[in-house]
Amino acid sequence: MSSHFTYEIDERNLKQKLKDFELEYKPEAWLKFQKQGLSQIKIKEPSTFIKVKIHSNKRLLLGLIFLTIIISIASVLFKIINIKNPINKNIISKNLNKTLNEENKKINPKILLNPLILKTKKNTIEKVTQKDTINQEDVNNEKRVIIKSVPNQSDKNLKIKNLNYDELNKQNNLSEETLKIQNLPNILPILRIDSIKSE
Amino acid sequence: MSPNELSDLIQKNDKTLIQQVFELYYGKLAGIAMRYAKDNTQADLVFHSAFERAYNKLYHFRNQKKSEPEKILIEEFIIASVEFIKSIRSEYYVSSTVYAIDKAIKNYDLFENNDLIDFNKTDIETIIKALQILVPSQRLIFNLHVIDGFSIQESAFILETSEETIKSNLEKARFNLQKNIEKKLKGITI
Repeated sequence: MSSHFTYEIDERNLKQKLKDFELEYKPEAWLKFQKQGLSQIKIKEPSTFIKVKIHSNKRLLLGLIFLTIIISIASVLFKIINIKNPINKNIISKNLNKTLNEENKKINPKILLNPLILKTKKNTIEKVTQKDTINQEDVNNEKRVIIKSVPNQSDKNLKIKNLNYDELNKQNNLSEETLKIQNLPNILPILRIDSIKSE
Repeated sequence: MSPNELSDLIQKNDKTLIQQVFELYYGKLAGIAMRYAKDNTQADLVFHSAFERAYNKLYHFRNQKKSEPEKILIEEFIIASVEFIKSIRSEYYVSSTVYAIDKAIKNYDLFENNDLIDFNKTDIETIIKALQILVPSQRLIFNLHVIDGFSIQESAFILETSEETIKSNLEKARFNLQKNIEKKLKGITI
């Protein structure tokens, strides 16, 4: 309220006046009230459901509901998955063995590419024995393959590099036949080198 | 019928009770409805709606010996009236653009009626009319806090607003009520 405004109403007096204010009763008022059908007021008794709602704690009720849900789910899971039964364990292990064997059969290659490739393939599944020997030629072959697996380059560069490689091959006394194996996959030489290193 | 006789009738679950309660409390409750409503037609609607609710409440409290039936009836009637007016959303949520600011310089126009007004001698009808013109939010808080004696906290709870809003509306209501009475007495149509 602004400072210029002065509240001049005496609220006590006003309150008393308004509190005492009453309208005169007229029989018409009751008739009007009856006409509107409100005279027969339906008294609603509070239902038992509402009573339960009022008296019980909401948190406790919710907690109980969640607990029952968790217990029911746990019991269902316990019935489905029987962990303690040993028979099931054997069945599972047998099944696993079967599947593993089948997979191994699938993995084992039937095409004999080269003794070199076979060895590397075996390395992935079985360990290479200490008795296995490696020829110097094989190593050189791999070197060659690694060089060849380098990404595409321009023709000029390739020519220069090929000349250099030829010279190097000559220095290493490598025959042309040994250099024919060029179409090997890129992974194989890497695997082979790793196996050599591990040995 | 005295309040004690009323409580006895409630205990007995008399079928004629509703008419007796109506006859006994019509004047008082209709007066309350007049204060809370914006005009006489709305006051009728407020009365019928609030009386129904208050009577139901009274009936449910019949087994409580210590309860005062008259107090319960009137309190429940007031709360029901407030809720009825609040439910008319198109009226209740219209914000008031009037601020409690008065001009610093008074108008000294010789042709204007500048008689001093004694607000304490104003008749009840003028006060009721001035009260009815107020914006619903201001009218409700003025009735609840100033006339019916509800505290600011209680009023805030009933009206579902913050205490700050209640205080601001109360200030505006006081300012506007005085202005309305002033205008009514000076014969200015609002």
